[in-house]
Amino acid sequence: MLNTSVATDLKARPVVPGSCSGEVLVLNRYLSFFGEVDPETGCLRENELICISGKILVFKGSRGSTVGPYVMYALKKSNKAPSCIIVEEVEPLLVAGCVLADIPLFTMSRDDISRLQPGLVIELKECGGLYCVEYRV
Amino acid sequence: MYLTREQERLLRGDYGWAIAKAMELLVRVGDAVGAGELVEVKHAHVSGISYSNIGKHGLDLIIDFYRGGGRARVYTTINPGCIDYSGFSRIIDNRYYMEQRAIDNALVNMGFKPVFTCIPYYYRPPLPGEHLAWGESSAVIYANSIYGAYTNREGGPIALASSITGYTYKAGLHILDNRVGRIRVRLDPMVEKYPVGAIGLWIGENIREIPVLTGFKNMGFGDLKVLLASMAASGSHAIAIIEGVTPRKTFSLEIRDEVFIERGDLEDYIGPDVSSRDSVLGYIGCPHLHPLELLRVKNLVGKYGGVKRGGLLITIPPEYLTRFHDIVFYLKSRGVDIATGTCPVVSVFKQRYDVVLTNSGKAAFYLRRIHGLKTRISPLEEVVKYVCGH
Repeated sequence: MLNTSVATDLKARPVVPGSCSGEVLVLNRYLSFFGEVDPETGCLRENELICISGKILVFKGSRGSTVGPYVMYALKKSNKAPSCIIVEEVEPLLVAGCVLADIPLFTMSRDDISRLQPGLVIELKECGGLYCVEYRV
Repeated sequence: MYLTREQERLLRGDYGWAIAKAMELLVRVGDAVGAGELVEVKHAHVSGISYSNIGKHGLDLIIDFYRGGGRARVYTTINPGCIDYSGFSRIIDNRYYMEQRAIDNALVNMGFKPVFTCIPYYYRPPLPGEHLAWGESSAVIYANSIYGAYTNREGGPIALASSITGYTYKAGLHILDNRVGRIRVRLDPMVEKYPVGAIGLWIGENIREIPVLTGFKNMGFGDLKVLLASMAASGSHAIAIIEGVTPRKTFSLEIRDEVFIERGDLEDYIGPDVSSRDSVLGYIGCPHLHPLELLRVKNLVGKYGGVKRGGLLITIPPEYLTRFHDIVFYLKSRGVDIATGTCPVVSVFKQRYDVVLTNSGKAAFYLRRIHGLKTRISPLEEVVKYVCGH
């Protein structure tokens, strides 16, 4: 595989900064880590073929129980955590979960998210306070 | 966010992993919600400690915080766990006894007061304007609305982080300008006989902004507690301005709209009728009973002589077992099932019933969702009468 990158004009705002690269997995919905993600396998309970481990997990925002942060911590401990998370909306429990589990967290506009290609490998690189998205090809 | 030099040292890790992690948690969450600084808290109340809710991962995290040097820096109480500490209950399942005890040990060793109750204001009633970091939505709304204290709904591990650092992020209800009542809520006089649990569920689900409850001041504190807890369960309310109750200068009013709750509004929230073939569990104590309510239940049970059909479960703080042992043993001798330091919302049932009849909208809301039980809301007297009055 050629290790070149292609810059885009997509930008992400860091909430929990950190390095972020991997394959994009887009879930076009709200997600509750408690109940909807199996912390042992890192896969969704409703569809075990969809696994978030090591991915750049993109979804609308988090919902549900205050137990969510514990599940994110568990994912990290069993080495099944996503590489980083990109959402449209942040809420305190998601931030808390990402801090506890050392998972970088970013927000992006809905338009920018819709332009992310699922399945491609991208990297987020710091550029002037924000993070710029680069495709790895 | 602005940090003092001491706060920077805490964040940098000069005092160990646990405190650094806790500070990072508060600073990051604070940044995300637009807080400009941290504020000192007087009392932290840590929720999310029931093993049946948080599981092995929650247990691991709490133990990591303990081993990492986390210790209470401010007065800290803890929420109910998932086991009955009295050992009396035949209804609450103690299957996670060892796991819950492991969580409890870590919490107690961190210096938290093991009250195992959702009414921390029984132990330390807050003062108006005091900053708190409380988890447990029913306690949060009670602290803000009844005592005029300042606290957000601090979910999960954030209250724990506040306990071991002594701070929380200054945003939301910690700022007077955000404590503004906008929708006036009145009750149709016909509704006043309706269970307050159902009224609370209605308000929670139908009102988004901070409600101003007018004409509620003559409700007893037990009923207000159930009303507020139910609002906080079905909505995400953390405060209601109760005219004549909420301390002045802890809120302001900018009324934009007024709603009138009528009888027809509440039918859906009360739940289905109970048929005579159903096995019925009466449940009182969500949130945990205040001693005066315990006395009221005792007098009611005494009037009817005892439990005659189905069961009657009450949940109370473990301390009542010694302080009010006369009442507790009287109730036990009349067939009442007593569980201390827990409640059905955070534990597992050993026995199945067809219907749970309760005065609490919060209990009804969660028992439907978590345990898939049929629930019906009735006033406290009616709950006791149903199981004792035959």
